[in-house]
Amino acid sequence: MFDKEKDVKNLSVLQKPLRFEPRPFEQFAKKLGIDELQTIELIKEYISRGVIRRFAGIIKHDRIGYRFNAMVAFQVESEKCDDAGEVLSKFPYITHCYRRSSYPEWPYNLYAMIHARDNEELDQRINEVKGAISFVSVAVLPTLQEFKKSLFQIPTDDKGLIE
Amino acid sequence: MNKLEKDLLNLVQNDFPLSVRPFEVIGKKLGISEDQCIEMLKKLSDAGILRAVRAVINWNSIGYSTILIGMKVQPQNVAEIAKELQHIDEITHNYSRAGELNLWFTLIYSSVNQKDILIERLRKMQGVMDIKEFPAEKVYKIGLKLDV
Repeated sequence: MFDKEKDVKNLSVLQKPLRFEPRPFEQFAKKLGIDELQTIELIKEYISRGVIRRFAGIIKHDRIGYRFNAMVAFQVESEKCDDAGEVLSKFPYITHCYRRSSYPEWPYNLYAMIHARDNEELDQRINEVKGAISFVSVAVLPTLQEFKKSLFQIPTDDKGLIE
Repeated sequence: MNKLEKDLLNLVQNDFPLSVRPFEVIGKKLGISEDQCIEMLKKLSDAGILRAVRAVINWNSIGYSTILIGMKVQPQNVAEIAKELQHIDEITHNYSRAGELNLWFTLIYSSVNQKDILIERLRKMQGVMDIKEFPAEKVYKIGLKLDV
């Protein structure tokens, strides 16, 4: 089986942002004590295991014009939820879609994050999404203010893994 | 942003080359040099458009749990509570929203106890009327990508 402790140790190195320099994987390789090609193979292995979802540029949505967002929470019959989730996932402007637990007073079980460049587009997209699936009820929760958006990092201070 | 910058961002977010000299590979695709590619990325990063090029880790796969939490908070206390949440590293996203539950955040935690302690602490804060936990039962999409 996989060695979780080793994975955490490797990922605490590989989670760092890539430097913009000609051989950016060198920084990881040095810390891992392997060469650059081995580092790249390690990243690929984690991707194939689903431990690393992707290795890519992360763009601030609001800085490319997507300033209008809403979380839309649907109440969908349990047995129809997977089908609805699949349908929602196909919309390019939906970045996140989950089935979540619900409560009697909060019956919504299917959540989608919808992004748009203005309010009109947001309304139009919400309507498009509403028309695409069958649901019992829906709550549209537009984003009013972003207080925090950060990338979690494996804490490294207690394990002697600080760079 | 010009066309070249947009093409660069789309390439970097959709198809980042895992090779020893990735910026050379990207440069070739766009007809620019490795140096030009690096300079452009630095500029986009300094401008706050490109957050980072990095591994997006599936925290659940290495023993962490993630959860969405919705709070019902008195409107006059929203900013103050959000400020408190700001300092907690395990809270990665925090938004105020229109609706019955008006303050939402996502939390990454390594033990249920750790999560429960935080929630208990939040319950005691002034203006907090309700806290609901929404763990994901199934992930249909985690995209993080929007066309530039």
